[in-house]
Order: sequence, then structure tokens, then C-alpha cells
Amino acid sequence: MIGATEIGIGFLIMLVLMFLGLHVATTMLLTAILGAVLYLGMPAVNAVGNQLWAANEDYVLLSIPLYILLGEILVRAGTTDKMYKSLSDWLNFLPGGLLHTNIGSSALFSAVSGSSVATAATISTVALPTFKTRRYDQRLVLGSIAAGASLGNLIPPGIAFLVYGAMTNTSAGRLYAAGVIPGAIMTLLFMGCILAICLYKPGLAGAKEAEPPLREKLGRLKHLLAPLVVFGVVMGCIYTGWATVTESAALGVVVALPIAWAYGNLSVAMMHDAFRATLRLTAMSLLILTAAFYLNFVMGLLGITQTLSALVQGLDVSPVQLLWVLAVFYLLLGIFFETLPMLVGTVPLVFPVITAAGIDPVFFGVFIVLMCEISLISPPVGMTLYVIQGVRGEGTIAEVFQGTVPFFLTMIVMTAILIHFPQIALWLPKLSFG
Amino acid sequence: MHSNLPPNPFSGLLNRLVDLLVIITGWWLVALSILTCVEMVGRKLFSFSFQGIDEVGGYTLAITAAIGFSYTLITRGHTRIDFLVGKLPEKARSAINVLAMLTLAGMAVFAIWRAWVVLSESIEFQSHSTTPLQTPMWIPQSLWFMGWALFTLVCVYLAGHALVLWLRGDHAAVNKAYGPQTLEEEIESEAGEVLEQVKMEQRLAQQRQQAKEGAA
Repeated sequence: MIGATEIGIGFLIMLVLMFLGLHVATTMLLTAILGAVLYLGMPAVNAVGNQLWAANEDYVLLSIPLYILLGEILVRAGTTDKMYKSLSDWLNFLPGGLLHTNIGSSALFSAVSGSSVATAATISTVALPTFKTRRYDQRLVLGSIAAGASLGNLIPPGIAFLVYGAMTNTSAGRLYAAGVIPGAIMTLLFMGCILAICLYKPGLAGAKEAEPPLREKLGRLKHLLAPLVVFGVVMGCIYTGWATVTESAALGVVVALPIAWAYGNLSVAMMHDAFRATLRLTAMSLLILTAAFYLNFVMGLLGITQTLSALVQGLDVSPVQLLWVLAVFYLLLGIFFETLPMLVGTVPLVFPVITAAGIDPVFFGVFIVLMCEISLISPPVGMTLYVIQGVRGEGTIAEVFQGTVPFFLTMIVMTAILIHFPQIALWLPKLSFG
Repeated sequence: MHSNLPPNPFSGLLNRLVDLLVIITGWWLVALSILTCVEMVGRKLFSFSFQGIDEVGGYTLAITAAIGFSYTLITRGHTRIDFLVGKLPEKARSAINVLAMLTLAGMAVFAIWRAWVVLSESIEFQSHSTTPLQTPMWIPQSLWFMGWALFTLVCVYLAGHALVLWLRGDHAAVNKAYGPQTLEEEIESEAGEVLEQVKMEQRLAQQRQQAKEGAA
């Protein structure tokens, strides 16, 4: 067992190497090997091979490439533009008009797509021309797209939950069930935020659309069907216990194919593009995850779990206090880090702490994914913000930053709600899985 | 493909090989998905089941990941925190970029050595999985090992190229090929074709609109 100081130094070394700009996977593997060499000797170092195989040969994690593939097929099915139009039919009556459509369509798209960059880029491309002539406040337009795009991981099926589940041996099905209600509340809070702003200052919302005839609206409704059917089938099978997470991902892939065909976009070239994107995103996650598995293994042998548990129990903090401390920690870290490095880099260290404090692992999964979402839109590094600005191609990034402020604050409110009412995350998994 | 391999025939070959493997893996994922669904329906309705689809699925992930690593490296996708790197002067940046490639290659070489030990032990002891399939472990492990070997090859090749450029003092070239992706590159590689498709749809919708107005 090694002491808290050594653990702190090890974590610091890893962070410094990351900041230096080495590959995230390299920094984790290096730190782990350093710990193994210093305290455990060659057998632990030599175990790398078996750990690599064990980390990669995992049926549950096969759901990662399958969910990504399902998303890549749907995204290429060519429904985004029509989906946006159809959503706007039904959300337009609200004060704030098209801004709500931004939230809704980004949320839908990002729930399907594994890449927040792709979400932000695509929704911006679809939405921004629509706003050109309508005199909306630019900042709110940009902020609402960023906010919507950040919802993707919280609304299942997201990759972040799978990664967290794999690292902590938490059931991915339970995590998916736990994410639904907080994801829905978050979406409603965003829309409530737009509503409040536009009621207070109606000038910020642009000209209202002419209401299209009902028949046209109903006709377009079918374009919302594709993502909803896939979501319904995939999640329905998990919640009813019909299929495991991996099986329902496979089912999703099979359901996505006829949808792409129905839109006339199923082709060999399209599939090959989808494969390339899938393997790219999968490998990005898995290289880091593989390194993290070995780091986890070394940390286990070093007794870091026990050290940290003892430390936390000695501190005598309540779970709520601990969660607030962690929230601040993640907010600071999120300024510089992207979702995955933040999640994978901190979970091995933080997880023993929260279990020692008696916090439910499923609940904490939702909490940490929410923290990751915040990191996506917190300036000055939030990748999605730059992507939106890049697609926009005019004005300044400062306008995007300003636009995210109300949504950033809304997310802080969401954090508070989650910390003080953990039942919103825990109720549904309990109902589905007992 | 937006590859950062140095332009020469060997790179061309490597590019095509990796791309081919990616495509094969992709089709295998689709096939496995279909098999999984057949198995699910069979199990629920007719109480028949293939043995070991989950086991094969596990091996599939190991091989998918190993092949994906190379493709992602060639297309510069592996995650780095570029917050600091982006703010440094050109020379410091190129030093860090070369260091990143060298350490990554070092890790890959180390990993492949240990992966080789795993594979050779499976061959030596004729290990089988403890499942109904009783898979001889050398079969999935050789494919997995070859994926890692390819990754190591690409890593060492690129790290060598980066080092040569750096020793020549061509810092701009190092940063262009081995720095974190610029924003435009990242958008292009994660959403390029999708964006083109969306823009095409928008043009079509506009044309339809104009045609409608013309008719009216």
C-alpha cells in the first residue's frame, strides 16, 4: 500500500504529461508503468500483455463500435435537414421559436451520433442558414446549438456510460436507465431557460414563422420517426430485459439499415464511410481505455483503493459535500479537458473515494457524465464551441462564449438538482432492474 | 483519406492495407449484428441458440480495436490535450510533437513485445477458452497480435519520419503532419461527408422551393 502523497504525485505526473500534449493513452500507460516499476517490480510490468488482451477482449465493450456504427449509418441516412424542419413545426409556437428546435434537434442528433464535433458541425450547418433572415439574437442561436449538442452523452445510448461502466464494473443497462430522466430534465431546463429569456426580452427572438398547414406538419412528422424508432427499439429491449446492451446495439445497426435505404442513401460507398468513421471513433476511445485498464490494474495492486477509502472515511464528509467538491474539481478540469480524457483519467482515482463515501456507483455515473457535458461547453477550450464558430465563419468566438453562459448556468442548476435529488437518476434503473 | 503518411510508395501501400482492413472489419461488424439478431429471435421464439456468439463478439472487439488504432493514427485521431501545445512557438511545438510520436511508438513497441509473449504462451501451452466453443486461443490472439503489430509498424514509421523532419530543422513540416489537428481538419475528418450531404440536401430543397414558386 502506498501513501496519499505518492498517489498525488503520480496523478500530478500524469496530468502534467497530458498538458504537455503527449497522447492521453501514452501518459496513462507511462504513469502506470512508472508505478509498477517503482513499487511492484517486473511481474506487474510484464502483466501488460495479459491486461491488454483482457481489456480488449470484452463482449460488453463491443457495444461501443456497434452504437457508433448505428449512429454513423443514421447520420448518413440524410434525415437531419428534414428532422430539423419537422421539429420546428411543433416547437415554433413557444416564445423563442426556432431556438427550441436547436435544442431538440441537437439533442436528437447527438443521442444518435457518437461525436460531439459531428453534432455541432452538422446542426450548425442545418440551422444557421435558417436564422440568417430572421433577426434572432446571434448569441442565443449559437448557445442553443452548443447546449443541445452537449446533451448527447446523457441521453442513452451514449459512449460515456459504456466507458464508465467498463471501468467500474457497473451495469451499462442500469446506467442507461439512470440517464434518461436527468437527460429529459436537462432538455426541459434548456428550453425553460430559452423561454424565460425570450419572455423577459422578446426582442432576442426573431420573427415568428407562418404556421404551416396541419397536413404538411403531419406529413413531415415521419422524419422524426427514424431516430425515435431506433431509440425506442434499442432502449426498449434493454429496459425490458429482452436484450443485453451489446445485443440491442446490434439490433440498432440492423434497424438502421432499412431506414437509410428508405431515404435512398444506402450504398456501399456510404457504408464504407460509416465503417471508417466507426473504427476511428472506436479506436480513439479504446486506446485510452486500454491504457486506463492497465492503470487501474496497477492501482489495485498498489492498494490505492484502500488508501483513498481510508482517507475519505477519515475526513468524515457527507456524500453531498463530497459531490460538491467533485463538481468544482470537474468544472476546473473541464475548462481544459475533453470528455473522454477527463472521464477515463479521473475515474480510477475518484471511484474508490465515492464508494467509500457511500455514493451509489450508478448515480455517480450520471453525475460524472453530466460533468463531462459541462466540460464540452465551458470556454475557453470547449471543442463544440469552436466547431460552431468554424461552421459559422463570421463574427467572433466571443459571441459563442456569451451565448453559452445561460446554458452553462442552467447546467450548474442541473448539477444541484442531481446532487440533492439523486432519486431522479436512481428511480428508473430500480424500476427496470430491481 | 486525410492521411499524414509521408508521400512514397510504401505509405501508399500501408494506407491501402489499413483501409482494406477497416472495410473488412466494418462488414464483419454488420454480419455479426445480423447474426446476433437472428440468435436473439431464435432464443426468444424458438429456443434455439448459437453457442458462443458473445465469445466471438469479445474477440471481434479486440481485433476491431487493434485495426482501428492504425487507422486512427494515420488520420491523426488519437486524443491529445492541445490546450498548451497550441500556444507555444513553432520550435517548442515541433519538439513536443516529435516527443509525442516517439513516446507513443515506445509504448507500442513495449505493448507488442508483451502481446507476443501472450500469444506465444497460448501457442506453447495450447490454451483453449473455457467455454462451450473451446476456442484455441492462438486463433483470435494471432489476429489481435497482427493488428497491434500493424499499429506498432505505423507508429515507428511515423515517429521515424517525424524525427527525420525534426533533425532537418523542418519544424513547420513536423507541426503540419504531427501536431494536433486544426479545427478545420477536425471538422473535416469527423463530419466531412455528412456536411457535404446536408449541403446537397439544402440545395435540393431550395431548388424544389424555387420550382414550386415558379409554377405558382
